[in-house]
Amino acid sequence: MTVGDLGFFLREALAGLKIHRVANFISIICIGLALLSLGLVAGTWANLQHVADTLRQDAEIVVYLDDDVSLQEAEQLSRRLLDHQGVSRTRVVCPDETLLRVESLIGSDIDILSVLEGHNPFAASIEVGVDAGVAAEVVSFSGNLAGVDYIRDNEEVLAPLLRLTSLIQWAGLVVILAVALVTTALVAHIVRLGMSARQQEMETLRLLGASEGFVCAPFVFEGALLGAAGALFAAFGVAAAGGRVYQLIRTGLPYLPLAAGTPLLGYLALLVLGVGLTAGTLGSLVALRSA
Amino acid sequence: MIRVCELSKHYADGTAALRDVDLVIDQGEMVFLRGPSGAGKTTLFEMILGIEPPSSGAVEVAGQRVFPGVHPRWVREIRRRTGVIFQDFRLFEGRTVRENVELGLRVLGIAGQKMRTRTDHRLENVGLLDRAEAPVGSLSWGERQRVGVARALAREPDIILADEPTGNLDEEMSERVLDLLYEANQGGATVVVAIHAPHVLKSTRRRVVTLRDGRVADDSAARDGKGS
Ligand SMILES: Nc1ncnc2c1ncn2[C@@H]1O[C@H](COP(=O)(O)OP(=O)(O)OP(=O)(O)O)[C@@H](O)[C@H]1O
Ligand SMILES: [Mg+2]
Repeated sequence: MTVGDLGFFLREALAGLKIHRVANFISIICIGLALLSLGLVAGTWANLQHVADTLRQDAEIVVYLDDDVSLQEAEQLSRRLLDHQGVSRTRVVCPDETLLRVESLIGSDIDILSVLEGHNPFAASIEVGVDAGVAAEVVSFSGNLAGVDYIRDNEEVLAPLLRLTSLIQWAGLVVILAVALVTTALVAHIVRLGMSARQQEMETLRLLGASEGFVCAPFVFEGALLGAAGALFAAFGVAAAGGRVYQLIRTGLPYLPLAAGTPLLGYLALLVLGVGLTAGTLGSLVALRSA
Repeated sequence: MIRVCELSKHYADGTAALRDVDLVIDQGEMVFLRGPSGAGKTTLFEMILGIEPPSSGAVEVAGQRVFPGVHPRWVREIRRRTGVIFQDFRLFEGRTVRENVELGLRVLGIAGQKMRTRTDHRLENVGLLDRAEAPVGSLSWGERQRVGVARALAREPDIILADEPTGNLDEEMSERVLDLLYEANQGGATVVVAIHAPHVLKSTRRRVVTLRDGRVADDSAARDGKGS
């Protein structure tokens, strides 16, 4: 088989696909939609994973202090926590700052202090940055300190997020498998149709001494082309939908740490193309095997 | 080159297409195969090409067994070395005249300029160069037959099996095709031509083998005391 043969097989495959033009076009759209859903699931998974990773990296513990703890005492506690192994930073948040944060969360049109009749109900707290590995240890250490009211650990937020991520990961695997199977089956069916239309021609080629490789190669190309065409469609879909979703999240939920768009969409396009091409080729081989 | 030993073919429906045929065709020989319709000429070609297995007997081509104990690779090798003009043409429908001839070369790994030159040359030989881009579906039966001739000859084969190559041609074109076969034979090819045309058979000095009811009824070489 030579390079010239490859060009010939490609032309043959294209000519073969033109026989059932409309049906094949619809099939390509179907493959494209299946691959598109795969790309979107994978993109969602990648972003959740990224959010989880980001949260895990600067795992933070917030130690809320009793009402009667003074700022000096709070600073002392803060220094003791900073001495603990695995603690990277600590910061005392005074009651006024907490109040300001709550105000900005609620919105500026309500004067919260007047509602509270000039009394700030919040106590001081300490934000503690820790290495993810020692978070539990620091939590129990802080719990034993005098003047500590309660401790909020980011693990509480992280745990359900990680559960969701792993769930989506599994769902993603199922989707990949399903999409690959559907694509393979669809391509196998189309290629078999094409083969039955050219049964006589294949037989004549064999009579002229063509190798099985020569007889079958155009059909392998046909399947690969179907998969690739669907994947191309899907890749554009992923890029368009991905770009739109990113834009929505950036404006609507700006604090959500998203995975960097440009490389991610590139990876997704590659994933979609890879699955499409592989499943398409596999479909052809299935068709040739079962012929 | 071609050796057939006690070859018999009984089809499933009970038809005996060949019965105990013994035939040896030497390398470089040109043989006419004649016989009434249904005598078994096409069947004999099919056995040589490994298309149909015989019921009993043996077929050998170029010193290699085709049957029994056939190896698919060897069958393919024989087919690659053979130019076959099929009685039913077996053209690639939906393709042009040129594509039909070129495809016969492509399967041999001949492509590019070499393929185009040979194709043009043979289409010129059979008077179809000006129809090269026409789809074979639009051709007359005689024109289709000539495409089959061009496809077989372009391959420059060691063996030519021509099954009624002039069946649909006028006298002048028949002469031309036969001349091409003679020419190939002079070039060293072993040529077997199944043919009805009485005027050809009467005037030829080549060996004529007559099949009747699946048997070799007459062999001019045996009468002349040469060959088998
Ligand atoms: N596939 C088949 N099944 C059953 N019988 C067959 C089959 N192929 C050929 N025959 C029979 O075998 C016999 C020989 O056929 P064959 O085609 O070899 O004859 P032929 O000499 O080529 O005839 P013609 O001159 O008409 O081409 C015929 O009686 C034919 O009907
Ligand atoms: Mg015949």
